[in-house]
Amino acid sequence: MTSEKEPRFFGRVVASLSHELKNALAVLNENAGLAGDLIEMAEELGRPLNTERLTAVVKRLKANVKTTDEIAGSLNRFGHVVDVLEGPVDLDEVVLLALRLYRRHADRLGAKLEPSLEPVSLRGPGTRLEWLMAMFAVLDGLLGRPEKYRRVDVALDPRTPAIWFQPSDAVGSADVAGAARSVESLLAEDLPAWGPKVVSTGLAVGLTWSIPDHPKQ
Amino acid sequence: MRILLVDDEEELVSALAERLSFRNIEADWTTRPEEALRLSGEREYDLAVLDVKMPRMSGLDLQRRLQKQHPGLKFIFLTGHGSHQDFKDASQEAWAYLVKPVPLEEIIDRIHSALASGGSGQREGKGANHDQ
Repeated sequence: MTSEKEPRFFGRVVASLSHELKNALAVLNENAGLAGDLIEMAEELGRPLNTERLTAVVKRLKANVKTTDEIAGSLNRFGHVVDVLEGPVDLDEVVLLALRLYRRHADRLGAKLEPSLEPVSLRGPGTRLEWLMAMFAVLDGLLGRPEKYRRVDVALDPRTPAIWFQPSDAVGSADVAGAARSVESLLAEDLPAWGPKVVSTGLAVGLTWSIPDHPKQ
Repeated sequence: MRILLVDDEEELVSALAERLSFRNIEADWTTRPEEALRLSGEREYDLAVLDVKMPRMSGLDLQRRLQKQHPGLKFIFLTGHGSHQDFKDASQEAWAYLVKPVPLEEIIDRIHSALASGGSGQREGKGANHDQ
């Protein structure tokens, strides 16, 4: 991995999360303003305070405080991925973080990311940052395809071992083999020393660190 | 005066529309660019306030399509902290480029100054609160 790739990746993720924070703050700002307007109108115009309307706005404010806190939590977790620079890596945790960090970009592309993680504990080599970057490369490869997949299911498979990405609900004709080639090409640019490999079953693209004996059918 | 508000954050755009209505500014809102094009085809708007980044269609693409429908329409862009390139692109196409969260008074000031300007929807040397 080149030294240029890592700061670029950090910039990409931080810019995305700060954008989410700004949006959440804008929702808070507008709804706090709306609550203020409702109270002011009641005071200045002598109208009865619409408590039902105000209660709905307050509920919205509370929900958005929670949203804002969740975004700040994701930013914090991302900041701490470089705390430990040696493996092994808990992949179940990293997969969930990667999907969370990628969510806004997927939303913009009109795609949903669905983790289907069974309660398995799977560990991998390398660092959490390398896995995040590798997973972003896979998702970029899949969602950048002309067939425009609108859903990607992500699962850990301790037998292979691998992380499987199953794209579906394509706007065009599905071409998972082509998607695997796109992923391989993108991943080659960010290949960590332990060399994850891209495998494909025709239905799913897998990120593995050894050639699987029994690819997922 | 009739305004079209387009932002994929429903809780933002609906509250903004309601607050503008309290100030005698009639505002229709939608979270979907396709719906914005439909509304714009049915009703006359004086100005559109567009989020820069939305799913499937960017605010810039929407602006170009709305401008085709209504060449005299004025635009203000809202963003949640876009890139420098976003700022450059959007600033060329709109009266103002505002970074969220934006005080309502500022949005209203920009709406009034855009509508008072006449001519094209593009700003004339003022208007951005870009805070990078």
